[in-house]
Amino acid sequence: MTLNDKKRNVRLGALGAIALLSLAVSGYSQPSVSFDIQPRALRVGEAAQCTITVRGADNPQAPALPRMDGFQISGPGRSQQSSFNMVNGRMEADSSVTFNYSLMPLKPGNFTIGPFEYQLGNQRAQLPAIELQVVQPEGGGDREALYAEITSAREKPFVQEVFDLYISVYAHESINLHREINLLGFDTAGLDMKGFQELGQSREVVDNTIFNVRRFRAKVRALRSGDFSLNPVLRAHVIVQREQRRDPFSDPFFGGFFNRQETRAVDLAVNPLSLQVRPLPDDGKPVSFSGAVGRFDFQVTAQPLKLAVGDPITLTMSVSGEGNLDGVTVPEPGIGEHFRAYDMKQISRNLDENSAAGQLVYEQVLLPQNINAKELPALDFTFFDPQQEKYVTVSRGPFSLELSPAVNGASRMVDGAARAADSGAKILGSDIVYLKPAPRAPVRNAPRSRGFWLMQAIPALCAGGLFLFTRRRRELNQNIAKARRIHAPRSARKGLKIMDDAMRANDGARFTEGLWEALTRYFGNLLNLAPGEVTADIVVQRLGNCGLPAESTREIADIFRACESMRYAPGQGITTSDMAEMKNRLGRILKACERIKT
Amino acid sequence: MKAAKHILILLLALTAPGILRADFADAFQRAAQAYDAEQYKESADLYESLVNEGAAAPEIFFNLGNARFKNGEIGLAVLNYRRAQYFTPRDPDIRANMDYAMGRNGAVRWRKTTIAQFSGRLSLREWTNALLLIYWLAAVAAILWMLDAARRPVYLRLLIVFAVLAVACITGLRHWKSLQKIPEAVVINDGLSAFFAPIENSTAHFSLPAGSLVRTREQDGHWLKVEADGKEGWIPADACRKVYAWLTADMALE
Repeated sequence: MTLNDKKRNVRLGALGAIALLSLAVSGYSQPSVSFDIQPRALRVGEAAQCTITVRGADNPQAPALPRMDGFQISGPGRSQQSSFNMVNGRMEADSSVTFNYSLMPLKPGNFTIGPFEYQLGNQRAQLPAIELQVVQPEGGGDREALYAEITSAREKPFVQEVFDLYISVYAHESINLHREINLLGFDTAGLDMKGFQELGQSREVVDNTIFNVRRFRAKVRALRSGDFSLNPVLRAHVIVQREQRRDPFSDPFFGGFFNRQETRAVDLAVNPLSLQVRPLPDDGKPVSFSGAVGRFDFQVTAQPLKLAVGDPITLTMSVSGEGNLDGVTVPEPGIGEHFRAYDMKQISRNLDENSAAGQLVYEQVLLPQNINAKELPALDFTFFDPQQEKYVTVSRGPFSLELSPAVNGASRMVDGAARAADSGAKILGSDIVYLKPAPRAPVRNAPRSRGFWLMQAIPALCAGGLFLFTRRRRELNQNIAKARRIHAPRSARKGLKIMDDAMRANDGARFTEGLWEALTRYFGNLLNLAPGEVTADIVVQRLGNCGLPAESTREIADIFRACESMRYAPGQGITTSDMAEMKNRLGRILKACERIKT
Repeated sequence: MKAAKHILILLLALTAPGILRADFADAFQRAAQAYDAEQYKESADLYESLVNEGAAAPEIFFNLGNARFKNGEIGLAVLNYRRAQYFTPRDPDIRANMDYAMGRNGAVRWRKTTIAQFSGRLSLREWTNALLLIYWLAAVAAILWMLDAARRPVYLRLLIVFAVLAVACITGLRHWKSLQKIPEAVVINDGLSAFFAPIENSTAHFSLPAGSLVRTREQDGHWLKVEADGKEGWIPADACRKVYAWLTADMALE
């Protein structure tokens, strides 16, 4: 038996075994479903494993668990197992798919999971009810072990009032909460809310139960009045011990490695917070109120107060405090015709978003226009104090001026910051730069013409052309045969010209000389032959090798013969018509030779 | 008779640009006089009419910005200063006035990358001219490299330098092209807030004072998603005006 025969037999044996296996496995057993939850007695915060195993079904869908109040369900995870068993000499296949769910109880009590139906293809499997007993962790009361609350520092805030909103996450001390808590959704339409900041962790007793509390705060401002319902969606992550696995090395180190912790996401129940935002009262609203809501201080300084007409006065206004500083505007000084005012400029803006406190500083430059500008009128800044629930007006000024007549009778130029410089030119103020003169043309950067863009092709064409030229020249210098072949038609022209001249002069000898010249020069260059090598035999043989038709090679041989006979037997007369005939034949031959590749 | 007609047409063709220039100079002067007389609205209208007639020069936009500023229209002032900057990005007067107008209102800007700052140092026309100059010089260097074999290393070094400069120019051009695709916009309306979503009652995210220079990112109906000061938010499209990547005589502004 050869090696090939052995291989063929092995292949046949394997095919037979597969065929027998196929015959023996007559079919899967009827589909069956098993349902279990373990452990069935557990504490709040511990996870129970729910397993639903489907046997004998092809690619079953994941079952939908019934609604379970008081449980956080995660999963399903899916695992599949297949095996072949020999039963009474018959091969049976067993395939099962297991769906795993994690059930996390959130409150104590007795719970019944099921019964419920599981649609398995065309069949319905009835899954039995399972009783679970959940007890409070040690020392626990009746509250949920993990929940959140949202509270507001103000029950009925005013519109535009900045107030604190708190979210507190309560976790029973037995629950190991991961640091990460996600705010999955929070409809804050109509509110201007800054980001939440964690205030820290504390322990609090709620219903005689100790909870770890993490509290978050955000600064909120209502943009409109009315009722708001705040219902954030929160997700916390609970750290649980991963299920004990068999340690393959029976070593404490590897045991610890294989029993690591894992986190499970839990959506927290949050009580919605109803918020009633009140509009600002119209009663007692002063004219000077411009939208500031909070508690503010307003300071004004005017410098200098002793000056000449036309000298600048810098009015510095500062608003500081806590509230909606974003929307605060300072009052415009009510100056009359005796002053000229430059635009007000904000020179400092120091806001802390987390505390909604800060300071705004504005400067404005005023120029007394005449000697009657004796006083800067008082400035009133009004804000609404939500604590006192009333409008408060802070008045600063008036500022009396000691004016002297203008220096040289002319008013000074622009003014502004008016900070004295220790040396050099004194900066009197700031303003925009004056107008620019008319441009030379109404249009700058007019679109460029097509001719301009076409002209841009010149450098590329020049460089490209030069590149091709130098490459060709180098190539011909290196390849003499190619250079001679290219030169062949031009080299024949001299002989052809002699032939034309001879025909006109009816000079047979000269015609023959021209014909020979054309033949030797053309074929010498075309076939890269030395002058002595240009004979009819060599030319015909080389051209025949290059694929010139036999008819043409015969004609070449005839022309060579005729030429030689005319050269070496000059006594024979040659007529003009013979010359023309010969020239035509030569022309045909040369054209035929140009078509072949030598 | 026919010859006289041809001469008349020729004369008209020759004098037409002169007439246009004279009209422009006259209108420009009237706008400046209105500004000096503190008739800022009239001055702005005159400058605006020049722009609508096809004039496009940094001086016009600068002066228009000044007139708008003095008329209390900070947003439109910044818009026109920015348009002027597109022609002459390094003009200190334009930069000073734009900074002044924006600072006056506490306006914010979109945050430029280092490349965008570098590319913004030259205008689109300047980058184009620089690239064309480099291209011509590189072609000459390439021709000399082919003709003068003895100095080839010198020309090769020159070609490498030109290639690096060309890459810088292309980067600059790409910046301006990106401004054409994703244009800048200036907030015109005062007291504007950018929202978290393109919905009327959405949560306000951050405030955008008039004159803020933002970068548009996305459009959803009448809403524009804009970026300013490192934040993104949605604002009504009609609350701002786009600054075009470049302006030409045949391009209407709005």
